[in-house]
Amino acid sequence: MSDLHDLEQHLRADLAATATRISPSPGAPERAIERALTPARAPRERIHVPRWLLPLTAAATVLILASATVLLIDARRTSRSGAPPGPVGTSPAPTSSTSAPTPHPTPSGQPTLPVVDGVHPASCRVADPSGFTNAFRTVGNASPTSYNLAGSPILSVTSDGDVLAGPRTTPGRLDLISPAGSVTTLYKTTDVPLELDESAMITAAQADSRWVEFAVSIGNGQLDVRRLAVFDRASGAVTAFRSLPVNSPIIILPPVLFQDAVYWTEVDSGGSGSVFRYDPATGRTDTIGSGTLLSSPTLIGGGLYWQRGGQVVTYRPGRIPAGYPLGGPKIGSPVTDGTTSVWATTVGSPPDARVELMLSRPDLKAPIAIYQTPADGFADPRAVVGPFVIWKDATSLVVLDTRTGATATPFPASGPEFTTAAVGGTVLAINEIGSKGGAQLLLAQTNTLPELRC
Amino acid sequence: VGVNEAPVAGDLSFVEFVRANYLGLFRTALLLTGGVASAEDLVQDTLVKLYPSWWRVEAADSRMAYVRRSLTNTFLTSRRRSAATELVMEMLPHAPTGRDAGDVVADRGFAMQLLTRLSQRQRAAVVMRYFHDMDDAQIADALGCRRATARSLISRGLAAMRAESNRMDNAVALPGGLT
Repeated sequence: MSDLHDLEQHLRADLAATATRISPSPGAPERAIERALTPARAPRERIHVPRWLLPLTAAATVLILASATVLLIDARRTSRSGAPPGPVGTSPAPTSSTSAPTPHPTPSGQPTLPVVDGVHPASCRVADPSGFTNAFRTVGNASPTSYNLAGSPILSVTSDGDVLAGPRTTPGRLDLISPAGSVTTLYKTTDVPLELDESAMITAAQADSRWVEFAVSIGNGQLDVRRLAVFDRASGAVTAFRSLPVNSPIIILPPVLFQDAVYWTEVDSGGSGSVFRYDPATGRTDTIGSGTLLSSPTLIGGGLYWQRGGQVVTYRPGRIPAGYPLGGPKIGSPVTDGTTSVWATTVGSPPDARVELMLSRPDLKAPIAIYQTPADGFADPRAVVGPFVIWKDATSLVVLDTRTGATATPFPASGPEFTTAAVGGTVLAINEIGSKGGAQLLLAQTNTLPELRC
Repeated sequence: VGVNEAPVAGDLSFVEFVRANYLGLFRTALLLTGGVASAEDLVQDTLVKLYPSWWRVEAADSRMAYVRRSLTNTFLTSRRRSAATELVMEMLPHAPTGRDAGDVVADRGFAMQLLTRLSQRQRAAVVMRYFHDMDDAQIADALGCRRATARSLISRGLAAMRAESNRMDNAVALPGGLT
């Protein structure tokens, strides 16, 4: 017992015995889960303002937002060109190149990736992407005097290029915005019974040629999906096929529209539950799967999959992009334009973990790395349009032209909440913070996007 | 008004992982911090930090190893920021009497008390070696240092424990050759 080996053995035994003898306080795991999940959700604490003060607080909020927005827009415009330009959409036609005289180097810490089969990974940054920016035109929020704090948050873009948007208004709305910019409101939440201080909004929607499925989230501050419904584009009728009380412990995960039916997952707080299929033509609902640790149904390559207990369940097989890690620990949809697919993966380990974006095309033998963040960086792919790949970093959308390796941030300093992009048909839709607050919607025809070149 | 979207697959994976592995993480944190409340705080801080990029954890070869490494880094970082903070022991201090050094270390809780006298990196290295049975390469990887440095941290940690033990109980003579 008097040698190092014995001491080490006793040390092992003592540490193990001590650590196993002492238990955490009751509920500690749930508190940790709660605290981790809370920052990603709506604030739980609400400030209660007397009703007689509401008009004053609303006016003050508008003034503050207006001031901040004006400063933001001024700063953004100044940073783009040195002087405030005209409104987006009225600028000169896009040029064939948005090159700047002096290319910006790749951000520090970003590794150089090789050019493979003509696909150029991110290698430089365009200093003045105004040509790309000017390909977009704004929809809504155009009034110089009225403020639209709701905007048009993109829910999805149909194959016809129509944008489904869910403005955060009261009552909540589901809008269909045509490529030309006309807005048709498909549904308002006026039929949703609400308690005092509760609100209802549309938080997910997808459409095909006949049906528009959407999710209505209801609550007081923190909104959860509590109703699923379909809009019949032929008759204009709305049918709610699933409703839950606001205080129900059941969690409805985001639904998907697949081959004329709606698929969704319902789970309890432990992740156990079932996957359902609703056929709007017949009104029939079937349970098509059940188990623990269920994920949402996910569309990949024209197929439908979900995850159960860490394993991928194939409901309808699709054409999986070459190299896509379907059997990996996480299931998620790659972004695609029907030909090119892009997804994110991780390389390295902390503290040097990096996000790497992989691109796959039918003519490529293997996926190609097109961008790698600096250590601990963030990149979430949002859309692919021909040679362009669009991802979101911490606050802004970044565009890569894989023909040249040039990247651009056409709408810098947008902010994390609303910034997103989606493609449908020949339309690229982008959300940024609007000049009047809320989610500003910008649309571009994909064939008008100019080549980026450093 | 903020909209709380329904949990996605990552949420469920996170919840499942925490429920299945909380106790293991808590035990590691307990040995690092020396107290129940501070251990719970350390685990919580680590999970809060990891959750926004939980997919990275899911993509790791070993989710537990990834989280444990992050927990250690969180511990090292937080302790550096509050280096003047005294560690609070939530167990009664042990009062060793003249016994063999091995018996003293084997006495439940005394090793942990000695652990709290080590530097943060030494403590982390000793916990990894003697609680998790990690080898030099794994410890070096977790601490972001070379293998030789990891070996040195453990060796010096044991020496410091020996010295502290001697200080606490002059009658005890730990075995030689530990430095």
